Formats: sequence, C-alpha cells, structure tokens
Amino acid sequence: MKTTGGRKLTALPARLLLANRWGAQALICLQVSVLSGILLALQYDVAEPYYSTATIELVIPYGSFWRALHYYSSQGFLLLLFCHLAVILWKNDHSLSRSAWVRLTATVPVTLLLMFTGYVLRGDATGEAAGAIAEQIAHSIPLAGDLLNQLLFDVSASGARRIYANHLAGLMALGGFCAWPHLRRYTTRWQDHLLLLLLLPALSILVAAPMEPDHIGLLHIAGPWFFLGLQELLRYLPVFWAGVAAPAAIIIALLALPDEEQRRRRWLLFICAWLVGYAILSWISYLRI
Amino acid sequence: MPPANRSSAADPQRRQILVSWLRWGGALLAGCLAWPLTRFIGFQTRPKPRYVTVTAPLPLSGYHAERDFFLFLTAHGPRAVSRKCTHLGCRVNYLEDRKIIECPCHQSRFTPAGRRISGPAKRNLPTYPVETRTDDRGRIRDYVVTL
Repeated sequence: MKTTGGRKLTALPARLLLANRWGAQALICLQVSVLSGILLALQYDVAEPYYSTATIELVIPYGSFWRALHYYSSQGFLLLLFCHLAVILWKNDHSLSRSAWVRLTATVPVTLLLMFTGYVLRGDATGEAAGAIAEQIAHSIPLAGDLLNQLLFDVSASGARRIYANHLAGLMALGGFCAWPHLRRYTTRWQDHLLLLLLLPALSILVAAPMEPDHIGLLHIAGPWFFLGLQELLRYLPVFWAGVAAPAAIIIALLALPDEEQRRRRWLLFICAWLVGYAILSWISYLRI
Repeated sequence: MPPANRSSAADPQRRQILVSWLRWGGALLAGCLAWPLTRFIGFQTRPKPRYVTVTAPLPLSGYHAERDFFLFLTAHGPRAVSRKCTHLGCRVNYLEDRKIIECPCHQSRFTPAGRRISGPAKRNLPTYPVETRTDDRGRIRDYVVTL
C-alpha cells in the first residue's frame, strides 16, 4: 500500500492521476498557445476586433485552424494547470518558501486574465459583453478601480487596444516573471508529449473555435466557462462583492497556503468549499443557456 | 561588560532594520514621485460627439435598432434609448413581441422608454437627444441622434 503525503492510495486510477505529468503537459500547451498566438497576431486588427476575427476564421487560409489551435491549446493549458495545482496540493510535497509560492501561484490569476482577455479580443457578442462587465467590475474597486481599469481594460474608451496590449505583452510578461524560477527548474521536451501534440491539431481541425455573432434579439449571453459562476453571482450581489471580493477570496486562500499544518488544512477546506459553491453557481448559470 | 556585548550584538540587527526602513522609504518616495506619471495611463481625450442619422420613415414596428441605441416613435415624438445596460454595460435587445428591452447578460428588463422594470440593474437606461429634420414640404426626412 503506497502512501502519498500521509494519504493511503490503493486505486490504480488515482495513482495514475497523481503520477501524470500535468505540469509538463500544461507547459506544452502553453508553448503551442504562445506560438499559435503570435501567428494570429500577424493577422489580427485591433481596430476591428470582430471583423478581424471573422476574417481570420472565414477568409484567411488556414485561419480557422490556427485560431482553433490557439483556443484549444489555451483551454488545455488552463485545465492542465488546474490539475497540476490540485495534484501538488494533494501530495503536499512542495518545498517553496512563502514568497516563492506567492510568486508562482500568482500565475493562476494571470492565466485567468490572459484567457479572459482572449475572449474579449474575439469581439463577438460574448467578448463584447465580457469586456463591458470586466470594466464595470474594475470600476467597483474603491480607490484603485479607475486606474486598474485604465491599465487593464478601458473598453468603452479604447476599444480592444489596451486589452490587446495586455494579452500580447503585459500579462505575458507578468506571467513569465511569476513562473520563471519554476520554468527554469522544470523543463520539458516535445518528443515526450507526442500524443498531446497530435491531439491539439486534430481537435483544431475537427472542431472550430467558438464565435457568437451579435444579432438583434439575442436573449442570453454566457460568459467563458470559468466565469459562469461569477456571472451568476453578479445577479444576486453588488458588483464589488460578486466580481472582486468573491474571486479574491480563493486567490488569497491559495496564496496563504504555505502555513503550519492546521491552518493549511483550514485554508484547503475553505478552497474546497469555495469551489463547490462556485461549481453549483456555474451549473445554475449553465442551465440558463 | 555584558551591556557592551548586548550592544555589539544588537548593532547588525539595528543596521539591518535601518537599511530595510531606508529601502522601503526610498521605494515609497520613488512611488510618490512617479505617481504623476500614471496620468499618462489614465488620460483620455474626450471623444467628438457622434451624430447618427436614421432615415425616415421608421419601419412599421415603430422602432429602429442601431449599435448604440434604439429609436422609438412615441406619442411624444422620437425617443433614442441607449443600448448599454446600467447594470454591467452589456448591449441590451428589444423584444418586439413583449414590448420590453432585455439585457442578455443578467436579464434586466426595461420599458421602451428606458424605465427599469426588473433585474439587477438599478437605474433607467439613458436617452439621447434626437433632432428631426424635414424636407421642403414639412415631411420628416430623417432623425439625427447625438451620442
């Protein structure tokens, strides 16, 4: 009977899940996402986000493929990053100081912002609504809200320009800074992940990346899947509590994890409860679609 | 002699605290001095007023949809209602069969006059000034909405 981090593990699937190299796979997805993103940027026009996206999708040769590859590799990166984090927390065998942990786990909110700005850059009905909502959420933050909005979004005055700059450079640089000590230590080779490298292009060929044109009479817009719970929460609570305080709570809990065992367990319990609540909200929001 | 020992042991610690304070103080001062530079980020040039012309007559449904507003013909004349939801800024839609304006994000509802009916939005939809232009015979030629 094998034990990991004090927990007994007997089931083979659980052992396989824990042994899987989630982090390396996430890194491969990130590399594919960055490379396909650079190619997309060569054709993307920030002045006309939706027209530009539609042109890439419908007119430019293989545009649909590159867009789908960027979309699915980014989704894969986020999902695998979550799995990687969950396994690390389960095993409890990381030995990072608090400051190193804070710097590394800051990649989670940065990744979510990167994904979010990617949605906005589509310029379709979903992207447009997501941009407007993000702007209102930023405005709701006391004192620093306006500056934060001008730094990150400012969709109503600048269109997609600032979002594009952040998606392409600002957030990438911030994410790189947060993950650099980790990436310097753990590398991966493409030849070790051939299945994943085949799966991503196959998926991109078979399933087009989503795009929702705006049209009169559009009754429901669903946000990105990872923001469905937040979209639901915004129905019931004031913007600051639903859009800032609730997401900040789990991020703070995550950053506070390196602590003595009892307090660490409390933080973990809080994270689990938060995730269950968020999953329920996301499910309610999904049922509205 | 013990007091001298304590003093020499405390010296490096005191120096460390002083250096740390100096660093933080320096960073704070640099932040304060650099703060005006953040005005670069936030500065916004006021956009020119936009005039959108809608040609008369309006459709039989009595309304015309533009990207930023709905133009309704009411008993009191033309009325341009913003399409930006007052909850979170999503673009609202007009449901012709139910005669209501509804937001696709959180389903806030408004009357065609822009008055809030239900949902998380707390304020009415803003309206824009509409100017009516007529031809030589006094017939309405078009409506000019100022955004």
